[in-house]
Amino acid sequence: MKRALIVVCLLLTTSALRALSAQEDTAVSLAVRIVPTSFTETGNRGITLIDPSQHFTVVVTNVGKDTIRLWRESCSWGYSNLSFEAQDEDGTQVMVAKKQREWEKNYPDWMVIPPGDHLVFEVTFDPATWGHAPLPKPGQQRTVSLRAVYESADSKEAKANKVWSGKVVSPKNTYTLFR
Amino acid sequence: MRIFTIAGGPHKGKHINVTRYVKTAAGVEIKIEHNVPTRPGKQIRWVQTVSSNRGFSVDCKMLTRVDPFGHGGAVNTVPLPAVPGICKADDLLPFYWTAADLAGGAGPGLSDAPSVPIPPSGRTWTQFVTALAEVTGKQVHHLVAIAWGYDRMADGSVRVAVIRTPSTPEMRNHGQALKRMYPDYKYT
Repeated sequence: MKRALIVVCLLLTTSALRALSAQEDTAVSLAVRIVPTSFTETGNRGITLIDPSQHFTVVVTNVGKDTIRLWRESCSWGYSNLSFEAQDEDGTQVMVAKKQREWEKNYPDWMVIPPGDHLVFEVTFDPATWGHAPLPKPGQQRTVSLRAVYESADSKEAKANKVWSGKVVSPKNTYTLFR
Repeated sequence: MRIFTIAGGPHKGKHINVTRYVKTAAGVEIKIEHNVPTRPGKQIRWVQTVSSNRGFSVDCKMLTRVDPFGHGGAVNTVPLPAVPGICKADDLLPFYWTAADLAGGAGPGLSDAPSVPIPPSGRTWTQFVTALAEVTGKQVHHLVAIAWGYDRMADGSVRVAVIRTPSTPEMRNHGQALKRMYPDYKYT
Protein backbone atom coordinates (compact mmCIF):
# COMPACT_ATOMS: atom_id res chain seq x y z
CA MET A 1 0.00 0.00 0.00
CA LYS A 2 2.76 2.38 1.04
CA ARG A 3 4.73 1.50 -2.14
CA ALA A 4 1.65 2.14 -4.30
CA LEU A 5 1.19 5.57 -2.67
CA ILE A 6 4.80 6.46 -3.39
CA VAL A 7 4.39 5.44 -7.06
CA VAL A 8 1.23 7.57 -7.37
CA CYS A 9 3.01 10.54 -5.78
CA LEU A 10 5.96 10.13 -8.16
CA LEU A 11 3.64 9.96 -11.18
CA LEU A 12 1.74 13.07 -10.07
CA THR A 13 4.97 14.96 -9.48
CA THR A 14 6.33 13.94 -12.91
CA SER A 15 3.17 15.02 -14.75
CA ALA A 16 3.06 18.29 -12.80
CA LEU A 17 6.68 18.98 -13.76
CA ARG A 18 5.90 18.15 -17.39
CA ALA A 19 2.92 20.55 -17.36
CA LEU A 20 5.06 23.28 -15.79
CA SER A 21 7.78 22.69 -18.36
CA ALA A 22 5.27 22.95 -21.24
CA GLN A 23 3.91 26.18 -19.76
CA GLU A 24 7.41 27.62 -19.51
CA ASP A 25 8.16 26.60 -23.10
CA THR A 26 5.01 28.39 -24.27
CA ALA A 27 5.89 31.44 -22.19
CA VAL A 28 9.40 31.83 -23.59
CA SER A 29 8.78 30.84 -27.20
CA LEU A 30 8.24 34.47 -28.27
CA ALA A 31 10.15 37.70 -27.82
CA VAL A 32 8.86 41.15 -28.69
CA ARG A 33 10.86 44.31 -29.43
CA ILE A 34 10.08 47.85 -30.49
CA VAL A 35 12.25 49.08 -33.36
CA PRO A 36 12.25 52.89 -33.44
CA THR A 37 12.70 54.92 -36.60
CA SER A 38 16.07 56.27 -35.42
CA PHE A 39 18.81 55.92 -32.80
CA THR A 40 21.40 58.46 -31.71
CA GLU A 41 25.02 57.77 -30.84
CA THR A 42 24.12 58.51 -27.22
CA GLY A 43 21.53 55.76 -27.18
CA ASN A 44 18.36 57.84 -27.56
CA ARG A 45 15.52 56.32 -29.52
CA GLY A 46 13.36 58.34 -31.85
CA ILE A 47 9.99 57.63 -33.44
CA THR A 48 9.08 59.98 -36.28
CA LEU A 49 5.42 59.99 -37.24
CA ILE A 50 5.13 63.28 -39.10
CA ASP A 51 3.44 61.87 -42.18
CA PRO A 52 0.50 59.44 -41.80
CA SER A 53 2.39 56.96 -43.95
CA GLN A 54 5.26 56.80 -41.43
CA HIS A 55 5.45 54.00 -38.93
CA PHE A 56 7.70 52.33 -36.43
CA THR A 57 8.04 48.60 -36.14
CA VAL A 58 7.33 45.98 -33.54
CA VAL A 59 8.97 42.63 -34.16
CA VAL A 60 7.65 39.47 -32.57
CA THR A 61 10.26 36.72 -32.84
CA ASN A 62 9.88 32.99 -32.43
CA VAL A 63 12.75 32.25 -30.04
CA GLY A 64 11.61 28.68 -29.46
CA LYS A 65 12.73 25.49 -31.15
CA ASP A 66 9.45 24.74 -32.88
CA THR A 67 7.45 26.43 -35.61
CA ILE A 68 4.52 28.29 -34.13
CA ARG A 69 1.35 29.86 -35.48
CA LEU A 70 0.37 33.44 -34.73
CA TRP A 71 -2.86 35.17 -35.66
CA ARG A 72 -2.61 37.64 -38.50
CA GLU A 73 -3.57 41.26 -37.81
CA SER A 74 -6.16 40.98 -40.58
CA CYS A 75 -8.58 38.92 -38.49
CA SER A 76 -10.33 39.75 -35.25
CA TRP A 77 -8.36 37.06 -33.37
CA GLY A 78 -5.10 38.88 -34.09
CA TYR A 79 -6.14 42.48 -34.64
CA SER A 80 -5.84 43.66 -31.03
CA ASN A 81 -3.01 41.39 -29.89
CA LEU A 82 -0.43 44.14 -29.95
CA SER A 83 -0.76 46.93 -27.40
CA PHE A 84 1.58 49.27 -25.54
CA GLU A 85 2.12 50.47 -22.01
CA ALA A 86 3.06 54.12 -22.28
CA GLN A 87 4.36 56.28 -19.43
CA ASP A 88 4.84 60.03 -19.61
CA GLU A 89 7.72 61.87 -17.98
CA ASP A 90 5.37 62.86 -15.14
CA GLY A 91 4.63 59.17 -14.46
CA THR A 92 1.17 59.09 -16.03
CA GLN A 93 0.58 55.63 -17.48
CA VAL A 94 -1.86 54.65 -20.24
CA MET A 95 -2.61 51.50 -22.20
CA VAL A 96 -2.39 52.15 -25.92
CA ALA A 97 -4.62 49.67 -27.68
CA LYS A 98 -6.48 49.41 -30.94
CA LYS A 99 -10.02 50.70 -30.98
CA GLN A 100 -12.88 48.33 -31.68
CA ARG A 101 -13.74 48.12 -35.34
CA GLU A 102 -16.32 46.47 -37.52
CA TRP A 103 -15.52 43.17 -39.17
CA GLU A 104 -17.19 42.13 -42.38
CA LYS A 105 -14.82 39.54 -43.83
CA ASN A 106 -13.34 37.82 -40.82
CA TYR A 107 -12.06 34.29 -40.48
CA PRO A 108 -9.39 32.64 -38.31
CA ASP A 109 -6.22 33.44 -40.24
CA TRP A 110 -2.77 32.65 -38.91
CA MET A 111 0.81 32.93 -40.03
CA VAL A 112 3.37 30.18 -39.57
CA ILE A 113 6.53 31.49 -37.88
CA PRO A 114 9.56 29.17 -38.09
CA PRO A 115 12.14 29.24 -35.27
CA GLY A 116 14.16 32.45 -35.43
CA ASP A 117 11.66 34.15 -37.73
CA HIS A 118 9.35 37.06 -37.12
CA LEU A 119 5.89 38.56 -37.22
CA VAL A 120 6.31 42.25 -37.97
CA PHE A 121 3.86 45.01 -37.10
CA GLU A 122 4.02 48.46 -38.68
CA VAL A 123 2.60 50.87 -36.12
CA THR A 124 1.41 54.33 -37.13
CA PHE A 125 -0.37 55.33 -33.91
CA ASP A 126 -3.08 56.67 -36.21
CA PRO A 127 -5.70 58.02 -33.76
CA ALA A 128 -8.44 56.54 -35.96
CA THR A 129 -7.06 53.10 -35.16
CA TRP A 130 -5.29 53.47 -31.81
CA GLY A 131 -6.85 54.57 -28.55
CA HIS A 132 -4.74 56.70 -26.16
CA ALA A 133 -1.91 56.96 -28.71
CA PRO A 134 0.84 59.08 -27.09
CA LEU A 135 1.22 61.34 -30.11
CA PRO A 136 2.54 64.85 -29.61
CA LYS A 137 0.70 67.72 -31.29
CA PRO A 138 1.74 68.29 -34.92
CA GLY A 139 5.13 69.99 -35.08
CA GLN A 140 6.01 69.01 -31.51
CA GLN A 141 7.79 66.17 -29.73
CA ARG A 142 7.02 64.08 -26.69
CA THR A 143 9.15 61.76 -24.57
CA VAL A 144 7.50 58.58 -23.32
CA SER A 145 8.51 55.22 -21.97
CA LEU A 146 7.04 52.48 -24.11
CA ARG A 147 6.69 48.76 -23.67
CA ALA A 148 5.05 46.61 -26.32
CA VAL A 149 2.72 43.86 -25.17
CA TYR A 150 1.87 40.96 -27.44
CA GLU A 151 -0.99 38.93 -26.02
CA SER A 152 -2.92 36.23 -27.82
CA ALA A 153 -6.01 34.98 -26.05
CA ASP A 154 -6.69 31.32 -25.55
CA SER A 155 -9.86 30.64 -27.53
CA LYS A 156 -11.60 27.70 -29.12
CA GLU A 157 -10.27 28.88 -32.48
CA ALA A 158 -6.72 29.07 -31.07
CA LYS A 159 -7.05 25.54 -29.73
CA ALA A 160 -8.64 24.19 -32.91
CA ASN A 161 -5.97 25.72 -35.15
CA LYS A 162 -3.03 25.27 -32.74
CA VAL A 163 -2.33 28.98 -32.64
CA TRP A 164 0.00 30.24 -29.90
CA SER A 165 -1.62 31.85 -26.90
CA GLY A 166 0.06 33.72 -24.07
CA LYS A 167 1.60 37.09 -23.30
CA VAL A 168 5.04 38.54 -23.86
CA VAL A 169 6.30 42.06 -23.28
CA SER A 170 9.22 44.01 -24.70
CA PRO A 171 11.88 45.79 -22.68
CA LYS A 172 10.70 49.20 -21.48
CA ASN A 173 12.63 52.02 -23.12
CA THR A 174 12.34 55.76 -23.50
CA TYR A 175 11.44 57.14 -26.92
CA THR A 176 11.10 60.63 -28.29
CA LEU A 177 8.09 60.87 -30.56
CA PHE A 178 8.23 63.50 -33.31
CA ARG A 179 5.19 64.66 -35.20
CA MET B 1 -28.22 22.75 -40.91
CA ARG B 2 -29.82 24.54 -43.88
CA ILE B 3 -29.49 23.45 -47.45
CA PHE B 4 -30.09 25.65 -50.49
CA THR B 5 -30.27 23.76 -53.75
CA ILE B 6 -29.23 24.92 -57.21
CA ALA B 7 -32.42 25.17 -59.23
CA GLY B 8 -31.19 24.68 -62.80
CA GLY B 9 -28.31 24.31 -65.21
CA PRO B 10 -25.57 21.71 -65.23
CA HIS B 11 -25.27 21.78 -61.42
CA LYS B 12 -29.01 21.36 -60.81
CA GLY B 13 -29.63 19.48 -57.57
CA LYS B 14 -26.23 20.29 -56.07
CA HIS B 15 -26.37 22.53 -53.03
CA ILE B 16 -24.75 24.78 -50.47
CA ASN B 17 -25.11 23.81 -46.83
CA VAL B 18 -24.97 26.27 -43.94
CA THR B 19 -23.23 24.09 -41.38
CA ARG B 20 -22.81 26.73 -38.69
CA TYR B 21 -24.78 29.87 -37.95
CA VAL B 22 -24.42 31.09 -34.40
CA LYS B 23 -24.54 34.32 -32.48
CA THR B 24 -21.23 35.61 -31.12
CA ALA B 25 -20.54 38.33 -28.55
CA ALA B 26 -20.65 41.10 -31.14
CA GLY B 27 -22.04 39.51 -34.29
CA VAL B 28 -22.56 36.17 -35.93
CA GLU B 29 -20.47 33.27 -37.21
CA ILE B 30 -21.35 31.40 -40.38
CA LYS B 31 -19.84 28.45 -42.18
CA ILE B 32 -21.08 27.23 -45.55
CA GLU B 33 -20.01 24.17 -47.50
CA HIS B 34 -20.92 23.13 -51.03
CA ASN B 35 -20.88 19.97 -53.12
CA VAL B 36 -20.55 21.57 -56.56
CA PRO B 37 -17.80 19.98 -58.67
CA THR B 38 -15.34 22.08 -60.64
CA ARG B 39 -15.73 21.64 -64.41
CA PRO B 40 -12.74 21.92 -66.76
CA GLY B 41 -11.88 25.56 -67.53
CA LYS B 42 -14.10 26.86 -64.76
CA GLN B 43 -13.74 27.78 -61.11
CA ILE B 44 -16.21 27.63 -58.27
CA ARG B 45 -15.92 30.81 -56.19
CA TRP B 46 -17.82 32.57 -53.42
CA VAL B 47 -19.06 36.11 -53.95
CA GLN B 48 -20.35 38.11 -51.00
CA THR B 49 -21.84 41.57 -50.67
CA VAL B 50 -22.67 43.39 -47.46
CA SER B 51 -25.07 46.22 -46.63
CA SER B 52 -25.38 48.18 -43.41
CA ASN B 53 -26.88 51.34 -41.97
CA ARG B 54 -23.57 52.34 -40.33
CA GLY B 55 -19.82 51.91 -40.48
CA PHE B 56 -18.19 51.23 -43.81
CA SER B 57 -21.47 51.60 -45.71
CA VAL B 58 -21.58 55.23 -44.52
CA ASP B 59 -17.82 55.88 -44.70
CA CYS B 60 -17.57 54.43 -48.22
CA LYS B 61 -20.85 56.07 -49.27
CA MET B 62 -22.06 52.70 -50.58
CA LEU B 63 -24.99 50.95 -48.96
CA THR B 64 -24.02 47.66 -50.58
CA ARG B 65 -20.38 46.71 -51.09
CA VAL B 66 -18.51 43.65 -52.26
CA ASP B 67 -17.04 42.22 -49.07
CA PRO B 68 -14.50 43.32 -47.91
CA PHE B 69 -14.47 47.04 -48.68
CA GLY B 70 -13.64 49.48 -45.91
CA HIS B 71 -10.74 51.35 -44.39
CA GLY B 72 -8.10 50.86 -41.72
CA GLY B 73 -6.45 47.71 -40.53
CA ALA B 74 -4.65 45.05 -42.46
CA VAL B 75 -7.67 43.86 -44.49
CA ASN B 76 -8.50 46.95 -46.50
CA THR B 77 -5.27 47.55 -48.35
CA VAL B 78 -6.00 47.46 -52.09
CA PRO B 79 -7.53 50.54 -53.76
CA LEU B 80 -10.07 49.77 -56.45
CA PRO B 81 -9.64 51.84 -59.64
CA ALA B 82 -13.41 51.94 -60.13
CA VAL B 83 -14.16 53.26 -56.63
CA PRO B 84 -11.79 56.04 -55.57
CA GLY B 85 -11.88 57.28 -52.00
CA ILE B 86 -10.76 56.16 -48.57
CA CYS B 87 -12.16 52.63 -48.83
CA LYS B 88 -10.14 49.71 -50.08
CA ALA B 89 -10.61 46.03 -50.85
CA ASP B 90 -8.32 43.07 -50.16
CA ASP B 91 -7.51 42.35 -53.81
CA LEU B 92 -8.58 43.26 -57.36
CA LEU B 93 -10.99 40.36 -57.82
CA PRO B 94 -14.67 40.22 -56.87
CA PHE B 95 -14.40 36.94 -54.95
CA TYR B 96 -14.55 36.38 -51.21
CA TRP B 97 -11.35 34.37 -50.92
CA THR B 98 -8.23 35.97 -52.33
CA ALA B 99 -5.58 33.85 -54.03
CA ALA B 100 -3.45 34.29 -50.88
CA ASP B 101 -6.35 33.11 -48.67
CA LEU B 102 -6.79 30.01 -50.81
CA ALA B 103 -3.05 29.33 -50.84
CA GLY B 104 -3.11 29.62 -47.05
CA GLY B 105 -5.73 26.90 -46.76
CA ALA B 106 -8.99 28.86 -46.86
CA GLY B 107 -11.94 27.40 -48.78
CA PRO B 108 -13.50 25.53 -50.46
CA GLY B 109 -16.29 26.45 -48.03
CA LEU B 110 -16.98 29.95 -46.81
CA SER B 111 -16.25 31.05 -43.26
CA ASP B 112 -17.09 34.44 -41.83
CA ALA B 113 -17.45 35.96 -38.37
CA PRO B 114 -18.56 39.57 -38.82
CA SER B 115 -19.05 41.86 -35.86
CA VAL B 116 -19.61 45.53 -35.08
CA PRO B 117 -19.08 47.71 -32.00
CA ILE B 118 -22.10 48.60 -29.87
CA PRO B 119 -23.97 51.47 -31.54
CA PRO B 120 -24.51 54.65 -29.51
CA SER B 121 -28.25 54.34 -30.03
CA GLY B 122 -30.79 52.27 -31.90
CA ARG B 123 -29.28 49.38 -33.80
CA THR B 124 -26.67 48.63 -36.43
CA TRP B 125 -28.05 46.24 -39.00
CA THR B 126 -25.76 44.29 -41.27
CA GLN B 127 -27.07 42.12 -44.05
CA PHE B 128 -25.08 39.85 -46.35
CA VAL B 129 -25.82 38.20 -49.67
CA THR B 130 -23.53 35.23 -50.19
CA ALA B 131 -23.50 33.43 -53.51
CA LEU B 132 -21.71 30.47 -54.97
CA ALA B 133 -20.69 31.20 -58.54
CA GLU B 134 -19.15 29.37 -61.45
CA VAL B 135 -16.45 31.52 -63.01
CA THR B 136 -15.34 31.21 -66.62
CA GLY B 137 -12.69 33.78 -67.41
CA LYS B 138 -14.39 37.10 -66.60
CA GLN B 139 -17.88 35.62 -66.54
CA VAL B 140 -19.31 35.13 -63.04
CA HIS B 141 -22.44 32.99 -63.14
CA HIS B 142 -24.39 32.81 -59.88
CA LEU B 143 -25.55 29.31 -58.99
CA VAL B 144 -27.28 29.86 -55.67
CA ALA B 145 -27.41 32.64 -53.07
CA ILE B 146 -28.49 33.18 -49.50
CA ALA B 147 -29.21 36.25 -47.37
CA TRP B 148 -28.21 36.41 -43.72
CA GLY B 149 -27.08 38.95 -41.14
CA TYR B 150 -27.58 40.38 -37.70
CA ASP B 151 -28.48 43.44 -35.69
CA ARG B 152 -26.31 44.87 -32.92
CA MET B 153 -28.41 46.73 -30.41
CA ALA B 154 -27.48 49.72 -28.23
CA ASP B 155 -27.66 47.49 -25.15
CA GLY B 156 -24.93 45.31 -26.67
CA SER B 157 -27.17 42.41 -27.57
CA VAL B 158 -27.08 40.68 -30.95
CA ARG B 159 -30.13 39.59 -32.94
CA VAL B 160 -29.39 37.08 -35.65
CA ALA B 161 -31.42 37.31 -38.85
CA VAL B 162 -32.97 34.25 -40.40
CA ILE B 163 -31.11 32.69 -43.33
CA ARG B 164 -33.20 32.90 -46.46
CA THR B 165 -33.16 33.22 -50.22
CA PRO B 166 -32.42 36.87 -51.14
CA SER B 167 -35.22 39.05 -52.46
CA THR B 168 -35.12 40.45 -56.00
CA PRO B 169 -34.09 43.96 -54.77
CA GLU B 170 -31.32 42.39 -52.68
CA MET B 171 -30.00 40.48 -55.68
CA ARG B 172 -30.22 43.65 -57.76
CA ASN B 173 -28.15 45.56 -55.17
CA HIS B 174 -25.71 42.64 -55.03
CA GLY B 175 -25.28 42.68 -58.81
CA GLN B 176 -24.98 46.46 -58.99
CA ALA B 177 -22.25 46.49 -56.33
CA LEU B 178 -20.30 43.84 -58.23
CA LYS B 179 -20.62 45.75 -61.51
CA ARG B 180 -19.63 49.08 -59.96
CA MET B 181 -16.62 47.78 -58.03
CA TYR B 182 -15.31 45.18 -60.48
CA PRO B 183 -16.56 46.36 -63.90
CA ASP B 184 -14.18 44.11 -65.86
CA TYR B 185 -16.35 41.10 -65.01
CA LYS B 186 -19.75 40.10 -66.37
CA TYR B 187 -22.30 38.84 -63.86
CA THR B 188 -25.29 36.61 -64.45
